[in-house]
Amino acid sequence: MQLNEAMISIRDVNKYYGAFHVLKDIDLDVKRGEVVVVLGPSGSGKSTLCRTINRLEPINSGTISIEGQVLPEESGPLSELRSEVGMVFQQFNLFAHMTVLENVMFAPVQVRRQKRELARARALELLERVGVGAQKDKRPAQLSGGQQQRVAIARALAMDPKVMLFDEPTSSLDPEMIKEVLDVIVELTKAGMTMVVVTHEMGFAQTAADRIIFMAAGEIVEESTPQEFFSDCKTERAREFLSKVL
Amino acid sequence: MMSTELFDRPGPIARRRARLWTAAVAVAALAIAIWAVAKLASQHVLDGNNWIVLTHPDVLSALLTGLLATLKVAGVSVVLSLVLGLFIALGRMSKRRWLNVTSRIWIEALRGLPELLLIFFIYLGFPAVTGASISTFWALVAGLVLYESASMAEAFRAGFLALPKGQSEAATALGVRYIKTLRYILLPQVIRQILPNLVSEMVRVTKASSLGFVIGYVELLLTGEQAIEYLGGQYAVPIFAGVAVLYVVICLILSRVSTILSKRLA
Ligand SMILES: Nc1ncnc2c1ncn2[C@@H]1O[C@H](COP(=O)(O)OP(=O)(O)OP(=O)(O)O)[C@@H](O)[C@H]1O
Ligand SMILES: [Mg+2]
Repeated sequence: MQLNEAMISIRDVNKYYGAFHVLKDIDLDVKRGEVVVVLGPSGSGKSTLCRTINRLEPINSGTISIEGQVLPEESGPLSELRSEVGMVFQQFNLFAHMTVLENVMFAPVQVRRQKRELARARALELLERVGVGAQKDKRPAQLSGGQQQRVAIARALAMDPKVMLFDEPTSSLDPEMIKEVLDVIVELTKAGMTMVVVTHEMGFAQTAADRIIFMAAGEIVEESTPQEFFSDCKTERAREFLSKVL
Repeated sequence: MMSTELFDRPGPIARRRARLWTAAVAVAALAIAIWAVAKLASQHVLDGNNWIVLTHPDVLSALLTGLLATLKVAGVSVVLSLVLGLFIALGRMSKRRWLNVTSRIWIEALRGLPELLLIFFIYLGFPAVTGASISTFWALVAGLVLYESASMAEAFRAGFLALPKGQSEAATALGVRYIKTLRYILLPQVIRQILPNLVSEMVRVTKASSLGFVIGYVELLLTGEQAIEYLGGQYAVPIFAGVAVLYVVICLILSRVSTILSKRLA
């Protein structure tokens, strides 16, 4: 396996919801260590694209591979592959009946069969790293949105993923909490994590992205560096989008 | 004008009216109670020596044996219908069409049939079809489970549907497989949520186990009846009262257990 090989490779992917064509001939490669930010208007298929990468949504045609391995069809190998792709949701989705610490330990113990003590030590370290170590024994409902999202990031990191997918990680947060979560994500980009981030935070896109993907109506309309995209985008649709969000 | 807000505090007029109604209903209830007691007393039902029968060791041990038989049927039926109900609920929510349709038919058909019919049907039908005999115990259990599994399935399904979809998605995304997601993520939350429903279903099974008397399964109610037949009709009221108290006690214990459980689970 070469180092310059694509970490995520998406080829000719099409997806329909009934008759509705939500992803149209998507082609996208994400290199190891690259941070790709996906922008686009509401309903353009950003979440759907993000969710096809770990096959939370099945596709109708095309292929998606991670490190050269095509997403398996069988549930066993598929679960294994999913365990190496971290995902952070807009709604946090922490396990409501578990404490913060249990949330982070759960998958390493149940999926990776790590020893509890080992998983616990690693979980505490990760919680400390995202700044919520003091909350370890609380239930998710007792935390603020920003704290919950940071726990969710720690939970995904506990599986030592090769790739992290973020689907609007700050969109349901109060403004004062957005920064604390973005700081954690920026920290990850510096650590060399391969990431796909769907977001509406233009400041973050500008500074953290290696590449911007602009989607509209299920298509990748534009693909460029942040500098190019924000100073001089090529398409009318991107210009229109930027004029609304900037 | 009637207020449309349900939780407005009553004003002074409403309060006076409420007091008046309370007093009226209380007087009426008291009158009915006095009349009933007088009527029972005039027919010697309340005579102390009739009620003393409840302290007789033979009667007591008979009733306790009946109670045990009821608990046995109810316990086995509850456990089986919980398990079966869970599987039917999972089938009902499955994306596989044949599973989905089968479970839906199961639920709709069995919820619509009276339990009494199911019990008879199995007790008489099973030997006719298979040539093997079936004990009254298992015929009763099977009838109760057939009916109850459908109700339990609907209770479970409601619980699963009430959970945010993100709970199972997050587990899936972490690479957790279906069985473990069910066992560790979904079921603990679903059970906590539907515990009150499950308990009222358990209470219903316990009471419905008294239907066993139609096929001659000797449980609590039938024991009481046999005791009355043996001892004489003047003991009917005390013994049925004893039987009633035992049923109520079972149900009180069940709801107490559920309260403790839901506190423990919270
Ligand atoms: N389960 C579904 N069934 C049918 N249509 C769906 C489903 N999920 C999404 N869609 C439709 O697919 C389109 C793309 O949805 P998607 O959630 O990917 O958009 P998005 O770009 O993430 O938008 P947003 O910025 O609002 O999150 C939308 O028009 C949406 O209505
Ligand atoms: Mg979205």
